[in-house]
Amino acid sequence: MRFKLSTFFEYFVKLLPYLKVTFTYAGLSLLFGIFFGFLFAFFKLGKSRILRGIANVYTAVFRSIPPVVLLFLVYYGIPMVAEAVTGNNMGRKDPILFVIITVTLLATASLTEIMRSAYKSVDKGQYEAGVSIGLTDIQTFCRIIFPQALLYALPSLGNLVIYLIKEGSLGFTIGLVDIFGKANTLNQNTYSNHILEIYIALAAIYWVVAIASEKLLKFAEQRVKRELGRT
Amino acid sequence: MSLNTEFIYNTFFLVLKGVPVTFKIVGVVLLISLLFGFLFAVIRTNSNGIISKILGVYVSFARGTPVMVQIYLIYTALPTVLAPYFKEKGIGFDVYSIKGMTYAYFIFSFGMIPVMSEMFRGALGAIDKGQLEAAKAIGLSVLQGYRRIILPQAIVNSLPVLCTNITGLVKLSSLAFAVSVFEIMGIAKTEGAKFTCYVEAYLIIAVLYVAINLGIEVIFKVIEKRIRLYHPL
Repeated sequence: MRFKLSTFFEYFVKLLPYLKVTFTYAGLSLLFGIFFGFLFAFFKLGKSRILRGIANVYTAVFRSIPPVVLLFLVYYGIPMVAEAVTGNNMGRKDPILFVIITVTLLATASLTEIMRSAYKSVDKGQYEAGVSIGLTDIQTFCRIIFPQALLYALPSLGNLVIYLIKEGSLGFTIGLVDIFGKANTLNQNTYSNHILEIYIALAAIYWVVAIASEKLLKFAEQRVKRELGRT
Repeated sequence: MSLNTEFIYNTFFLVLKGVPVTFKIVGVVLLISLLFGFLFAVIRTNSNGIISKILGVYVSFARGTPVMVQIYLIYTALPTVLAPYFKEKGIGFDVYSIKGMTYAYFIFSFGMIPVMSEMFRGALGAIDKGQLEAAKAIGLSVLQGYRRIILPQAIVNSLPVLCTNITGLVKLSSLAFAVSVFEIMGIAKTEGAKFTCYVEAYLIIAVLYVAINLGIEVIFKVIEKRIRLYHPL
């Protein structure tokens, strides 16, 4: 089998800069997802039946839908909706916008569940203790409940980050130039001569990123455990 | 904004033809991945030798790389490299004759086995080691011990995660269009392109996929409720 190690490293280096795109949409989606996920988790744990219903429907739908389908729905549907509302043609928009929207929608659904179960895992006595020594609701939450919930949520969070990076790679189907899209372009430009080296380099980059995320997650877990004062 | 309702009506029945294909993919991959996943989980739980480490690397690779990359490697890159190699060596096997469905089974199993293995590892970890020792003490062989004592507990322990994994597999099957398999997504894509009614096409299958996955979740909730009568979940 023709496989040159030198070309492998050549493509590895060529693809690396496009990790910036991957991290951009992963980071932004995570940020927005945490915000909306917190909101929906709040709805789910609250008293209002309407809000709980909305949050439940949201998570049920966006956890059941395949990411590809959602991506295409967003890519073709959002411009259509925007046209109907504003009445003018949106024109060509950068695909990364649609990728961010799609991944945010998916991340929100997962994060709602993660936050909800993490919050529930914290003993109710913690809240009562906090309130009984004079802290307000919000203070109790920020100082006592949140750090403990964070510890429960970290493993799932780490999983989610890797999941977001993997699902966002589907953006190449709508023309996003992240590492996957660039790999395809490079492959076409070299007439599939180096196809094995290119895609193995691509897989290697993803793998390295995944392993690095795992290590980062373990490190974060240690830090939070130390802050909480337990091993 | 108007949706082409005639298209929706016609395409819905066309898309339904893809449902059996999706179920076939899910079924076969489920069987393969449950079998090998359990095997690998047992190996990894009970030993720490070189096989365990190799399996660990495999799990890490399959969980860290996107499915699309795996598809491109195995479906696109590998044949273009293997074909001239086979010609050189005079092997008469035509790599291009392998059907897309076979690729789907292989690639999705490749990705699913580690997921199931992790699930079973969690389930097996929750089972007390004393169970197997007690089984050996009353004279059961290791295989009998696993079959009668460990496996039932492992299955019950893994039910919640299994539900998530099966719905994940259904969502994964939507990528089979990349290996030219005409399941739900593949049909929707071609129909949408034919009439440029993309939004309608994807809306239909979105509803279909959500319905299938919600159905699976409901089934699992019923199963879990029944099991709860006999076993604390």
